Amino acid sequence: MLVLACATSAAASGWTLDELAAALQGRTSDQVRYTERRDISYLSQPLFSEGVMRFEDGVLLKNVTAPDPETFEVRGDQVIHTDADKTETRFDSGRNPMLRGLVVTLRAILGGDMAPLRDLFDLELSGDENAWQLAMTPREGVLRDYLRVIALDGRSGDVRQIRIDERNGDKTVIQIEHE
Amino acid sequence: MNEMLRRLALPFFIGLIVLGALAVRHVPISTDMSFFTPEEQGAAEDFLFNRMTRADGVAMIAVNGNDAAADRIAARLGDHPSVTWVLRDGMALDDKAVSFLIAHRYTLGPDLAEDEFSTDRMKAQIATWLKKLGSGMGPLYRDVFPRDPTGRVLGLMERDGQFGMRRDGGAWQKKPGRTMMLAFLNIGADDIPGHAEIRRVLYDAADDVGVLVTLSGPGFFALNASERIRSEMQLLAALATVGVAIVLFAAFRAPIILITIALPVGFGLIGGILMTSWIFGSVHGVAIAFGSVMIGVAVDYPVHLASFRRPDEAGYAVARRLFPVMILGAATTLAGFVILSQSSFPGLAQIGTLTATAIVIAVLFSRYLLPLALPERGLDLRPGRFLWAGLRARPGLRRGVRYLFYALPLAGLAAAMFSGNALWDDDIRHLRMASETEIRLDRELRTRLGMPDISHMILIRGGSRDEVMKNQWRASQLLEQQVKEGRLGGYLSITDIVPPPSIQQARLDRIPDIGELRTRLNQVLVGLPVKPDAFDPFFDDILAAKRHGPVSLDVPALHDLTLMMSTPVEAADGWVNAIQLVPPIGIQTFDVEGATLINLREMASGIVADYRTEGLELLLVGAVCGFVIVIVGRRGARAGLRVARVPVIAVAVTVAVLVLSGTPLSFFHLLALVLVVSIGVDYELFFAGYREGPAAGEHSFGSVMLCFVSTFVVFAVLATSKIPMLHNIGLTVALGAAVSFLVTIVRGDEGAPS
Repeated sequence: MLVLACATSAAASGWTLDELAAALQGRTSDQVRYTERRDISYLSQPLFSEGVMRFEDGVLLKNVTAPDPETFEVRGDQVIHTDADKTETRFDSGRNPMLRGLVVTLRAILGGDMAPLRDLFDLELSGDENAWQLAMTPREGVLRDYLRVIALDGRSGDVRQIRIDERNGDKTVIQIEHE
Repeated sequence: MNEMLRRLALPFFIGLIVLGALAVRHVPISTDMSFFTPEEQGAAEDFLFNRMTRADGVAMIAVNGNDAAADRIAARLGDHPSVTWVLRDGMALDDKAVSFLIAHRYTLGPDLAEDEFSTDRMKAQIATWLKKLGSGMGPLYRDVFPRDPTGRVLGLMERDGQFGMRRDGGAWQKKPGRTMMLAFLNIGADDIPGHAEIRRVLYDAADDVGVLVTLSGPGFFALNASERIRSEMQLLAALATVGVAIVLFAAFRAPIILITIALPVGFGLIGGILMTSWIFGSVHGVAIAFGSVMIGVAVDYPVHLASFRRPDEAGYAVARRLFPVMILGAATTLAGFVILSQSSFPGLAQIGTLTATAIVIAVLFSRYLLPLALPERGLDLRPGRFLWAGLRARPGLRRGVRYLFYALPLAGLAAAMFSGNALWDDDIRHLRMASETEIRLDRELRTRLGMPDISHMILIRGGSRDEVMKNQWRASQLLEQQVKEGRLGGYLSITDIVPPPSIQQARLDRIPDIGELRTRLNQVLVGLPVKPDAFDPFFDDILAAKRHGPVSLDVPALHDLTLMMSTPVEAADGWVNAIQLVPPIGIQTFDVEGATLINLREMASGIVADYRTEGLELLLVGAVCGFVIVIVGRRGARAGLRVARVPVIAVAVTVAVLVLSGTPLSFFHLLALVLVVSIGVDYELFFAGYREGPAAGEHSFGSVMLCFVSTFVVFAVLATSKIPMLHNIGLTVALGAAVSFLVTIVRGDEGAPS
């Protein structure tokens, strides 16, 4: 039923989820630059960071260049974080719903792996190939308790923006530049 | 009728042995350190040797592979029911433990900062938090920040990496392509089959993933040692059995003798184990091992019965004839073991009880039941007759050598005394079964994992649990100082996580009231990008902490936080606990109220020395009793002295040879020397002391020679063992038996009853 709804929604806009998946998989460059703005409800000013992300052999790598250098290496659900003084920390991305949603999304848009997205979210695609929007609403469980929606804006196989709205009022917006 | 009895006897006895072996299977056999600890032990010995060795096991693992491989291995290991937790390098505590630590952060963990709630500190800490929130890890900290304007949570994380698990503010030492793991087990370090199962699971997982793993831990040491002993014992036992079988077969040409010889020893051992278990409640594995060796002299009884048997003489007739000599020899040996059974060391007492019971059973069995199963054919006396004739023909040679045997032990002992070589060896390290490779690997894994040293710890004592906690808290403060000054790598103390209740209460009392905290925070937040109500969760936490009061040591949620640390236990004379030390350990002494630095190696060596001293004292008393028995049995001091001469010379020469060759004596040599004494008495009683028949000396010589050759083969094979304990026993008994035999035959028929 859901698949049908998604297909209907996508068909109406002339740009389907399958086409989007194919476009994401067909991307030639796997490395992107990004800037991130995080608005936390109890802070009066947003927090900014920037860096590079890439997907390589099933591993998602995120190199933060500012405000402080740090790296994230995501293998499956395992996240390995290395901070500026090379201290390594390992954790399961499932520990934090916001991180989990972000990891799944990044794997999909950088690696073209849409299956987890379809499992975890209700997907609503609108627009056309040159300017599409994908609204992802968590279906159930902890993800739904924490996340309101993850919205992607893009053109063809390139995602331009990721916006994460959390139920506690926090917002994260990631602007992506494709190299 | 007799013939029928004889035919039925052997299968009947074998059936009984099988039944006895089945009964022994139900005897609780212990393998812990209780063997070495005295019954009237102090709190320290009890705690360090019993409770610490029975503590839950731990597996230190290095995976030579990438992270994905390590993940798969950790998952497989974690699925095993005996594994409570697999800790990977850089891995955090689980959320439940972290939540508990955060909820009780003002009472648990290290002391609060002097200025914990000052405006300056809060301003600085909030700035640090904001930086963390802006980092890629920000989402993980998002909900903690509003609870922690004083940076207490940050402090706990920085001190211990991730909330109380890492030491020295850093991660485990990591090599590229290698992942360290620590698996906490819910089985004791003395559960050898349990550790074998864990090792199998780990190796199978590593095989499936296609990587190499290395593994160590106290339980795995014990597992490796037990496997090494078992495989070596199997090989040596097979070699010795083949050797003895060849000798006996050559002598009797009757395969049945092999079974006959095993019967008194078998019944004796089974009876000894059952009796020891009945008296002590369980039997220690070491007592069984030594008991089996000590009753070796019982093997001689069937040999004598078969050897001295005249053609056409009934089995019972020869048994009746030899019984007075057999019982005298057995009583002499028994004296030593009965005295040993009164030792305050359970291990010694068990060896004494087991061996004494076994000898009584073996000698009675040989007298009353074994004759039923004796082989028809007597000993082939030709080799004995030939050698004996040769010896008799050279009285001059024998006289000359005889003086040599008086001079040799005296000269040997004198040389040994003045050689400067150590007489006693009490170093516990010489008793260990681990190979150099295993010890090196263990040291390397311990260093990489920041695990505590196993030979040093701080022992804490007190009249109550609270007093132990208070003493431990004070000791930990001083150790912290030593760590800061670089004299100590680190330490693991439960009070670093759970301070004594009085300290926890004092901390809670230091927290300003909510109104005051609110005022201070409002001042701090001026100019910072944080909304005024951001820290409401902090005020809630403060109120909850004050309401809850101190955290008890018994709270189950503390389990994961304190996995590596021991908790106070009630001992014989109060309460005790330990602080484990992480190398490098540069402190030589540490003696503050209720806390003492213990060098476990020295302590264990001290216990080994006590063991040896008590064993020596009891055996000397036993020797005197044995001597009195011989005097009474031989009806005169002169005749008694003659019997005592052989074992005395044998022991003296053996000791001299060992010491001169640079082998100081241990407790195990002492036990082996008891067997040498038994053998010496046996040879003397049966050779010089018992003559009968037309060809006097031929039977005696043949029988004693056969006993000697069989004993020598068994213990010479044992002497080739790579395990020091077995090698020592083998060498000592082989040497002692050889000297006993030579002295016996050289003395010849001197003093023999006509």
